[in-house]
Amino acid sequence: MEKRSYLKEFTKGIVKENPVLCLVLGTCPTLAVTTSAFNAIGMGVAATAVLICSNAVISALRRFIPDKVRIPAYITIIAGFVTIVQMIVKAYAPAINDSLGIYLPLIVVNCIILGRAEMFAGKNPVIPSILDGLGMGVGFTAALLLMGIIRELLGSGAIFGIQLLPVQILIFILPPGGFFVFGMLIMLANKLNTRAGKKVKSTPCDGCPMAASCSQKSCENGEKEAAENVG
Amino acid sequence: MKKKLNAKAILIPTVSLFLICLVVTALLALTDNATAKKIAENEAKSKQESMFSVLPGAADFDEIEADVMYLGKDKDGKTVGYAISTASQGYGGQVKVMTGIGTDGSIVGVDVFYNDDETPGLGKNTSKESFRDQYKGLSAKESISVSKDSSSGQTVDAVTSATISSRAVTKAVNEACQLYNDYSQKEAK
Amino acid sequence: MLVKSLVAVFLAAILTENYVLCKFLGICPFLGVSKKLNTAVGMSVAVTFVMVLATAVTYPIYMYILVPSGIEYLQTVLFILIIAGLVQLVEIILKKYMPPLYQSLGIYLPLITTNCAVLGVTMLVLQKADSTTAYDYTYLHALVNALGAGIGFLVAMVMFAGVRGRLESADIPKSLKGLPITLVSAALTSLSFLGFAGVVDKLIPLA
Repeated sequence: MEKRSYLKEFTKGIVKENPVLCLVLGTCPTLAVTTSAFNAIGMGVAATAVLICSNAVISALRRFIPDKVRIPAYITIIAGFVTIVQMIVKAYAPAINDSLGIYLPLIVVNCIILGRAEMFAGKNPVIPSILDGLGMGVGFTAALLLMGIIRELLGSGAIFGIQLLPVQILIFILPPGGFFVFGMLIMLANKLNTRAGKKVKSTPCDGCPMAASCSQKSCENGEKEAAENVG
Repeated sequence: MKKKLNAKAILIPTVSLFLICLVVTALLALTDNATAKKIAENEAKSKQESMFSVLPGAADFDEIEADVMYLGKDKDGKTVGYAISTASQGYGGQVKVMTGIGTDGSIVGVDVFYNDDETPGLGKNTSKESFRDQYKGLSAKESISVSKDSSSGQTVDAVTSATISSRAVTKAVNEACQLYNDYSQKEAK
Repeated sequence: MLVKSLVAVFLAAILTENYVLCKFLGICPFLGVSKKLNTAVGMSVAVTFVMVLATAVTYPIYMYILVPSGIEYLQTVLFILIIAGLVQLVEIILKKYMPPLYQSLGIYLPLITTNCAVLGVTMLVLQKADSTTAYDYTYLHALVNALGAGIGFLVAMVMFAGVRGRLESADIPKSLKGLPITLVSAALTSLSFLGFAGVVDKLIPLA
């Protein structure tokens, strides 16, 4: 492969296919840990580390993992790396472990990671997969950081704990503020995307790796089936 | 209707999945081995720092009850007071508090050394000095309450909009005082 | 005391510790499957069922196998595999023995594996068992907690489905259409749950 396409694998995750703002994946951590910029970076870096490792390993093993048990195999590998990252964080950055709490082990079910495994790493060679993971991770971290900075600045008047504003609009740190800021950011991303003439995702399920087996589609199909059964 | 069971089709996925689980488990055991000591050290260290911060005069600590009560001594081995670790349920989760009680039975210092499940900007402010310092000088003999709940006796003002977290800290401090009282009564006998 | 603490755990899981609106767990189905009331209910019932079942299995495994052997670090790997296996098992059993139930719930089952609310419940009850000091947090409390979390999910989903129903006919600015307005309404819904703060402690004081 040429150098240029490597660069493309890396940069696509940051802007064009930003996992949070464009693909709307990994909404739970995006909302939960962005009460401060510091937390956002901690989460972003931890998830990026898991993403790069799992992408690399899954891509290297892609010929050995039977298709039938693909998903459980991916989940096991991801869960393994999450636990390793968790132990390393606990040992060398206990402050991050304390502030992320339950959301650190919950990286396992972050759909970005399983999503990249299923959509990219399971089909591509190791080096592009690592770059893809790195790019997606950086994009995820950037989006989290943006949320974290906005919420911390408005909610506690500070960024990274440094007091900047005299006013504090507490609601931005509380759960409703998370939903609201995220909504506003998606609106902005949609607006920029429509200006660039791209299709806008309307539900979080569109980019979800489990979309084939779940999502609204199957729910709607289920509804149809149910209706037919009644009829 | 009946599907023919192909031994190979079942065996290969099972074996490969089993191998993956085995390798992952081995890797985890390895990492755990490498980090377990460091993690335990970190936990002990954060507690120790907290103990020194609530008993400013102490140079060394003797264990009275592991993980709960410690006797603080100064450089000459003279008792300066007790550091007691207690916990209570806050708004988002557990709140862990270290209370320092002097030999005269008054509170010397309070440190909230774990409140990460509390809301940032609200409940987390209970670890700020302006709130913690209110406990200084209060007596361990009487229970303390948040001024919103009671106007008589020893009170502290709750952190604005974080009454639940403030109550949790107060409760933990009271519990520490209780432990201190029980201990000093036992000693007196 | 036991009944009192069970009620407190149950109510807290629904109101003050609502998994979706206060803890941000299970946001994907919350935003994705809440468009219509009946799908929202179906999804929530399936989630509740799996939550209780998963907790029933993982809690003793953690307490009586992982902790005594000192291998707590296998928690994440083991739990996610157990949940995945359980979901598969339930799906097969429902399909074979209870086709009508499978028709109404089965379609929601596959996506529950990666629903962070389920894994979250199994881990959070263990944390709670560890940190609760006011009373003895037992296996029963863990199960009731899981049931409450599921019902809390149901309440949030049903409420939100109602809110979204109203939005259908509303005149919304173009750039807010779709996900942005959904998130803004979610903000307002979760705002209403903030009002429950402290209500359980006041209602059922546990010394």
